[in-house]
Amino acid sequence: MKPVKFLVDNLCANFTEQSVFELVIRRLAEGPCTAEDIAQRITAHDRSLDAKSASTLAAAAVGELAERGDIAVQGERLLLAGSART
Amino acid sequence: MWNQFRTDAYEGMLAETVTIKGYQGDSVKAYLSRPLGAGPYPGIVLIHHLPGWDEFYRETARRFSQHGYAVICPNLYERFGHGTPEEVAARARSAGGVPDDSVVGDCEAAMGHLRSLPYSNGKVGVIGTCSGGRHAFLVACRTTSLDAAVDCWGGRVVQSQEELTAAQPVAPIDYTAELSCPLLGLFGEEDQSPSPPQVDQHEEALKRHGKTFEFHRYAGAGHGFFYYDRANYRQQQAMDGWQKVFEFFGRHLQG
Repeated sequence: MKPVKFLVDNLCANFTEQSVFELVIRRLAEGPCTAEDIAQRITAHDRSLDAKSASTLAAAAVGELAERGDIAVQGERLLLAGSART
Repeated sequence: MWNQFRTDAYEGMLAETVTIKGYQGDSVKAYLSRPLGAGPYPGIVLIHHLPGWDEFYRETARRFSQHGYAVICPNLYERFGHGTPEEVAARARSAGGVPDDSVVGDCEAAMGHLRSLPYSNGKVGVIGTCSGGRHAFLVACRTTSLDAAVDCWGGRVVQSQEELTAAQPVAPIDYTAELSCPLLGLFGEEDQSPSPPQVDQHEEALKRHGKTFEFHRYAGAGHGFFYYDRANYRQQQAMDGWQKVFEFFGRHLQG
């Protein structure tokens, strides 16, 4: 999977790498969601992105945040790491 | 460049949308901006970026006209319909992007339109940012009548075989031998598209083919550092970059 930084630059998306991560964390602070929910937040912020580009960016951000341990992935369900149920 | 006008000098411009015959004879809207007066004025084809034919480009066209250039910025997304710039850009992305042949055809038409104007000095340059930078280089390689080209952080000039598509069947770097005019390139060192190694690769190809060019890489800047409407704007680097653009076009398009 391509890194978020590469995707933001390659898509000329109206984000910084950091602001994509912050978008994900802010959304998850509202409660668990799916990557599709994240993608919709991305297109709401940058309406020049199509659905596929937004999904790719969302998946990359989720992947990096999960790798860092900031979020937990339970199947399609995403949640903040501290709120993951055992 | 900045603040060099005299406060007692007259200045005026006309800026409006026009329609030109583009690739395959299609009617394409363009934003035409020019200083008022008989000229003659050098011309610039301004190529918009991935996020669309948008407000940044209208302001940029007027900026060039304020400094003595006739500018035309064709709507490369014309064939994807109309709406706000963002809506149209999303549609263009969803369709796989604008084909390179279409871009070259529309830009050639724009070049011809500028030269046909009674106030043209006969010289035309091209400049684009982001995908527009890639397109500027592409057009400068695939046409022969440009007098100068500026590539601002054009990603995908270097493309792997896997990245090629029906719309973009040839990596622009493969056309380097055909580059037909002097080239200025501006890049942010923190950009990942193009990445610093890709910029190096591009520079190496230009050297290998004996082309006239100058590349400038800006520390502390990434993709889109001219965009004052975005978080990536970098004031010092952008002001320096603009100075270099005006100096470059002044050398190659004036007189």
